[in-house]
Amino acid sequence: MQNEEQLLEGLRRGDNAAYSELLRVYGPTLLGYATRLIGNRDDAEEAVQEAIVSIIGHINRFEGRCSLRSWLFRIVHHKSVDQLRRGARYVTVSEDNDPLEDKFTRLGKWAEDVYAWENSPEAQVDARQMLEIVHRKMNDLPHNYRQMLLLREVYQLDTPEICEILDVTPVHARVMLHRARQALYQAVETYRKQRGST
Amino acid sequence: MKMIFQCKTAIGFLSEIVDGRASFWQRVQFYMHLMMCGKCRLYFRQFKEVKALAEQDPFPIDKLPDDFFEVMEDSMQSRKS
Repeated sequence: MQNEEQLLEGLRRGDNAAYSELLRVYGPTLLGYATRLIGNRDDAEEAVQEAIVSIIGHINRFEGRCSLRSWLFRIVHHKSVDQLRRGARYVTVSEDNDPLEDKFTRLGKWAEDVYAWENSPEAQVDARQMLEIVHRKMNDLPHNYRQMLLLREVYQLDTPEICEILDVTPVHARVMLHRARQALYQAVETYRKQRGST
Repeated sequence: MKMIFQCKTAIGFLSEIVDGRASFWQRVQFYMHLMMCGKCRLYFRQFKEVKALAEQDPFPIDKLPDDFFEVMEDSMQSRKS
């Protein structure tokens, strides 16, 4: 594999081998991200194709202020959001919304017991099922939570990269990540509770 | 040293703790609270389980579909011409 500099050089020269390398190295990850964000493989492929065409057309505008990976994610993210907005499918939750707001008393203590799914025999699921539950619940979250969890947890991008991709400040990114994690926990807990009570 | 006695405050620290961004004193306060609070201990344990599972992609895409390249080539050709 070429390093990022060699790859960029090839892309700027219009070298076909560099395009193939770009798609081979980053394509599956970018398609994975778009598929999870959009929730539909065909639309995701279209969004990534549009993004790659845009990347190739604008490669000379890439100034290297962020990593190539962040830049690619940024373009794919925006194309995916465009795709969702075209179908009025981009669903977000208010940024003031705190998933844990009603979980605590005025004194800051837990209002109810924390549900212990690990101790509930009825709620038991095997490791593979639990993995699928977590990801299914992640896919059901509003897009502004889902994009944060995908970038951070699934694709392991750091805060500066996420800020670059989503056009947000580090403080905003940290607050939204915390809320997204809590929302995912709550969704998994609700599922396990319902399973435990049936 | 100011102690954290509120569960809400401790849970508000979770992301800082798991991401390793909490300061030394924040970590001390957090873990001291956990020592005294079974509910927060349980929440923290299950939170870490969910986070660890969220980091695994159950259906990763290993390669692009074959026709993806054809569509790309067509798009690139039409841009060039």
